[in-house]
Amino acid sequence: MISLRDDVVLEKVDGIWLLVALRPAWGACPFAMPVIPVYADIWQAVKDGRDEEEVTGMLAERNGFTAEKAEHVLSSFITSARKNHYLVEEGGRDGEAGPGTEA
Amino acid sequence: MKYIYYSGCFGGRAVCLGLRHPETAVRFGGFLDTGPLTEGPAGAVCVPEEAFREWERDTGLPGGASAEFNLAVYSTSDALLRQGACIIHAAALYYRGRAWLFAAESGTGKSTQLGNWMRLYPDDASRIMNGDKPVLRVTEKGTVEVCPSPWRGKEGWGDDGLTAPLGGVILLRQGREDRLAKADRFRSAARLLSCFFSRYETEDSIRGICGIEEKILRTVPVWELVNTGGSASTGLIRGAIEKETESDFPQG
Repeated sequence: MISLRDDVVLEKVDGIWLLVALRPAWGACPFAMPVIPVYADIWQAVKDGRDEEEVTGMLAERNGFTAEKAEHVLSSFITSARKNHYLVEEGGRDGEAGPGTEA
Repeated sequence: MKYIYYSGCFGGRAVCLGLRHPETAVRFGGFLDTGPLTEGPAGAVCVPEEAFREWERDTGLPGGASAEFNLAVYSTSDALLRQGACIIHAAALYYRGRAWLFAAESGTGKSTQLGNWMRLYPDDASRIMNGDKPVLRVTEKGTVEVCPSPWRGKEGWGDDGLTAPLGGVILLRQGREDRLAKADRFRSAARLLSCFFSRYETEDSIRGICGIEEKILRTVPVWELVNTGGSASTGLIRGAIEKETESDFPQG
């Protein structure tokens, strides 16, 4: 089960999806990061409580992906989310601190 | 903590400020009513204790009136966000009937560009509206207006009587050459967002900021200026603004 930080907000600005960090997430995550629409869909689905199988099913249905392609896209999302410290890892660890952004 | 409360007005929006230091009120000038209120109303804006502690830790300076004035920009912007307005980290120039924002982090050349402009074009009726942190407000028509604020920057540049519709935004980036282009939407959306003031403590504040940014991106051009800080870069901006407004000023 993927677990995402609660202190990062997904918002759409003029057609661009952005992940914006609330103050508690500063210093761990980027302040604001644009994401591609398919990653925004995954983020929202995970926030809605869907598990990995349900997310890959959603990706296949919405985008016409094969099961293999959907798994690959989800895997890429997880890699990117981990790199940017958006994941809450097992045991409550949320990744090592990364550079923050001046607000 | 004991606070003294004042009624204020920023961009036509009423905000009640609770201040720890009486000297802080002086720095707000005409943006606050002269006398303190006898009681603090619900919803009054105060700089939280935690912000003073962060200030003292980060700057090594005492959390006195200067700190309170500078920190109040975040809480004031959050209060304005609830009324369709906010404060942005940008210098505002009035030219050809519109306000042009030079947005960037501290030390990236906002004041340099304004200084260049006033030196190079002293007679073209342009004026500095605010040197550092103007107020933005969304109008009933969904456009954005730029309004004065008491936070004018180190140079103290500002014209407290001047409000104008936003004409465009120039995102500044230092470089080894001078180059101006329409900003890439994907990247500039995140970059511009980092210029808005807020304590970023609630999802509502982020939604409010994103709402105002959307109005900006949908109604005015956003350029990115890579610049050396020299006169040529300022000329590039002026040329772009004149092209943008040529239908209003057909004879140049």
